[in-house]
Amino acid sequence: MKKNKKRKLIGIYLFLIIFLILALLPYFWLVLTSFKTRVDAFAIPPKVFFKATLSNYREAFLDKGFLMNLKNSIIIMLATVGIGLGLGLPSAYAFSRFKTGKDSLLLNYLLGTRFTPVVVLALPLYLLMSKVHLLDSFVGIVIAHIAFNLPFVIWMMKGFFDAIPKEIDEAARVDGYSWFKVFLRIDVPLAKSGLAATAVFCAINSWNEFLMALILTGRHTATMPVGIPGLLTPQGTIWGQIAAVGTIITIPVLIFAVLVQKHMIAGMTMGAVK
Amino acid sequence: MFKRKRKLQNYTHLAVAFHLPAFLTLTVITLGPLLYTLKISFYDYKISSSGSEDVFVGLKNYINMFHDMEFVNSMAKTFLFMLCAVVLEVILGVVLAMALNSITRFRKLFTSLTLIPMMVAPLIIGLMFSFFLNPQFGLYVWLVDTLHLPLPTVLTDSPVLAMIVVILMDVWEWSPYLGLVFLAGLQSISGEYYEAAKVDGASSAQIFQYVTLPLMKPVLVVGILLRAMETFKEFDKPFILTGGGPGNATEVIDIFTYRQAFVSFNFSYAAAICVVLFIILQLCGMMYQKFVMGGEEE
Amino acid sequence: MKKRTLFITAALLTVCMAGTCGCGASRSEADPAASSEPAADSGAKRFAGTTIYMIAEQQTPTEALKKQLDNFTEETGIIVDLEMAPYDNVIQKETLAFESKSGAYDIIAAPYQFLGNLVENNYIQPLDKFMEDDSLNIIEAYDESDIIKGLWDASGEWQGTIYGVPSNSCIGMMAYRKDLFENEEEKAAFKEAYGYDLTVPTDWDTYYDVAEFFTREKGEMLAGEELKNNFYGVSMSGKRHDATTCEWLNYAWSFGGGVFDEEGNIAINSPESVAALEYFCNLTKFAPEGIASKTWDEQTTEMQQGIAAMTILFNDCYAALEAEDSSVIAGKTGYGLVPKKEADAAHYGGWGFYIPTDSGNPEAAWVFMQWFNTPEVQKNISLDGGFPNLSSCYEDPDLSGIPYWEASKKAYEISTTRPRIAQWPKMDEILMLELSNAITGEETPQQALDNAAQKFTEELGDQLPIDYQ
Repeated sequence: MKKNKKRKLIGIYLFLIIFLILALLPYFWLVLTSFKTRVDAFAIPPKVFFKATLSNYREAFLDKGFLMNLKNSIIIMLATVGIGLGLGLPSAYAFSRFKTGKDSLLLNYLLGTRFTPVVVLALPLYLLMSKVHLLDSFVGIVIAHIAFNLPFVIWMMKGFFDAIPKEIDEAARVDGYSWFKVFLRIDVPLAKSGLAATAVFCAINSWNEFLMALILTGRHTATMPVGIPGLLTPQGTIWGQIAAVGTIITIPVLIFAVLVQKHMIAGMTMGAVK
Repeated sequence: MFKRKRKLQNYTHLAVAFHLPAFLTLTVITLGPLLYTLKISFYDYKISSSGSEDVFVGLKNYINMFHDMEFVNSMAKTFLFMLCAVVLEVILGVVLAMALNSITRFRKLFTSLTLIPMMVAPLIIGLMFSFFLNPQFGLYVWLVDTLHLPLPTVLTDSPVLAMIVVILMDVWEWSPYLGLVFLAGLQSISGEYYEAAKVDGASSAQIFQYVTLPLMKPVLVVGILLRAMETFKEFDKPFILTGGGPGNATEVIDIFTYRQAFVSFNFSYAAAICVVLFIILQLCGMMYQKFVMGGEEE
Repeated sequence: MKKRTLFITAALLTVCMAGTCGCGASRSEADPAASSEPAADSGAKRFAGTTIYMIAEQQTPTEALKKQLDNFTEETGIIVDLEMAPYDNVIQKETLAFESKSGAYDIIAAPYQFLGNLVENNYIQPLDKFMEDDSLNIIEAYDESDIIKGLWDASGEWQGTIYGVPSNSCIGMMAYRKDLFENEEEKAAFKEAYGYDLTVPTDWDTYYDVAEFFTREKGEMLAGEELKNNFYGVSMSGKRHDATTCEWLNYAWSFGGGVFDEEGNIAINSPESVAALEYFCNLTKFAPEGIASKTWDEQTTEMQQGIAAMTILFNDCYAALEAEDSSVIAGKTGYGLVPKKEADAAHYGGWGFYIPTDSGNPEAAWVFMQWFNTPEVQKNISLDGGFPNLSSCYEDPDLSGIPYWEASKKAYEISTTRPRIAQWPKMDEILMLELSNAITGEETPQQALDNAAQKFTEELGDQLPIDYQ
């Protein structure tokens, strides 16, 4: 009986290990490729051991100007997170604390926005942005990213505010705090781990987003994902540099994701699973 | 009841004040554009014909959709993609969740590593796979050749294989995610249920069927609905890997719409498709919300 | 006004960008040579301080142009803000800019096949008024008559009016592994198998035989060495992409087919066109697997990695084959014309520079176009892998040593052009899909081209026959 159980456990670990190998192999290969020369990158049989070079990173970020794309990505990400949280927190708080008869309607409206395909919003946003001259501006792309992230912030933070006992608010109210003060001084600090998770989610959404950025940004505001197709030239795809940029795009995301792992699921189901 | 109503009234002005910034913004930046889409979908907003004066055409764009075999094809492809991808992801997700739930050592490490695929930008995933699967220089072909695996080496030439690759790419990205969602669900099931079942002498298969599954149902439904809706947003990965080809074998609806809008510049036709897509997703969204809100009231 | 705001925002936000521009401008102002020029409103510096906004394809010749932009700023004081986008996005960005009347660009680059579309939509303006205005002809080294007329006509002239100048020019040509064709063992083996000498193919039957001959499995011998990987007779494009249309048109014209016939009627499903597509589909047997995902990009890579013997490709990709650090076949490649059947075929795939109707600085843009077509600029572009628009460059001894130079010259003499009518972009989309269907075997070549013909007819309607393209 016990032996049987042990064997089963080994089987489970084996399954998990195989699963992980499959899940990580393509990414591992990408990272490896980023350190290869062009001839090594295409070598058959594939080279696992090779003379590593940083030339792909140097060429992509210094010569091809991906440093600027990196900077643009950071600016757009920070602005999206900052404004998204600034607008979304009060609303999330209101859903948690000041319930009204219209809540379900409003929440439904938020979900609707969240699940709208990017292409559905990209078309009118492009036409409208061009009318108000916001193409290739940080304002334009940040607006587009907020449109997707705001519903997300509200849904996610609503869950975190719900988890804070209402008695705390009432105690503060008795002490003469205004509601706004209760919200800002008491409940927001209490929800800070959730806040961090929400911020990370927004950051990742904005950081990885491609289609909107492709259409709304231009030479001065292009993000890293938008710069990548430029490496697919008729004179050959520059895989090494694509891999280098891909690696750089992914690493911060992975670090953040591990940091807020605990709240990952809540975020990705919009609070439906905690 | 009476008391609660008074409470509602008290909060109304507060609620308005707190909601206003977010909803005002959202209305301007999403509802506005969406209404604009609705408007141009009734017009002939064609730009490649000279002197484009918008002409009101009523439902013409909508009617055209049903005569357009390419639209019908891409809708069919989207549903096929959705069905296959979601089913595979759910099965793998459940297996992964149960596996993770039954181990104690290294669980945290395993969960952390499992996060990686869904954190990689979809665009990068598409590129990564096209490099990985390159029929001449890719690691995949080398593996198949060296290990003599009974698998095809060229995956993008045949419409069926290309679709399978697009599906598997999505499965690669998202089944770990469903695994983690389901794991959260599994962990919320109280151990008492299992003990009671064991006392009654149930086999593990029976426990799975009569205890685990029913209790997991809410989480399963959430996962399925979320993924189903997200598959409607599929764009980056097939766009980079197959570009919708060969032919239009992997042209899912977002790629089709993108082509109509930003390659052929049929803005009004694309707008009409957007409206239809929007309505479909609103219906899904309502189902989802009913489920989530319903769960909350319990 | 709007553009200015944009630039200021950009300058504030992109520090490094502003740095470069600032430097360029101040250097030229402080330049003592500048002060010897006549008054600012008539000399080469009359537009000093103007910024022109430009978009072009991200590829080797554009990179080569970018390197020289500082020289232009030094000479004229005009700052060029060059945006580069991948092939698929260039037209998209331009059309969207035109449609939204944003006036975002002063110069656009576009493949000439869009010329009719650009003109008929009134997106770009005629150049005559600038060309006739002597006060604008301020680039001394510019000589209008040096520009090769054929290139200029194809990429700039529409219904008798000049709308643009040629920018990047390229042409369909064959590249082949010279070392293999010269190998004695291979020569003998070929003679034995096919009964005639192994030569560089000039007709399609030989091309097919040679492709078949060189297609080898891993482990077989090639030129005395055991192959570690499969080797292929040809490298081809087959993705649903412009690259496939561009390659196939070489075959179609050579077979005597094409998009339209002499009378301007649709010939895409003529027996000759169908035969060309049948040949093309047959030939894919000898190309590396995965044809449905290949464009010129993969063709370049396959040649660079030395896994194919021959290819038909635009010659602006050939510099990449000669690059020592990324190509294992550098120095081993020969270049020739596309094989011939009924007619000469060399697909001219050039781009043009055009001035949008809503440009705020058309005069400065015209000054740039003059500068662009001066010998020094063109020569530098050619040295980096592009091709010149000037006859004088083809006589330049510094350039004649380039391996693909002689063959390119011959190809330009027989060049053939794609339709440039306003409907072509849509027709091209249709053709890409149908070619892709035929190549993957979803449809027979006949079915695919019949479908294309039917959709072309729907698209063109009563405008047939097409009397001007």
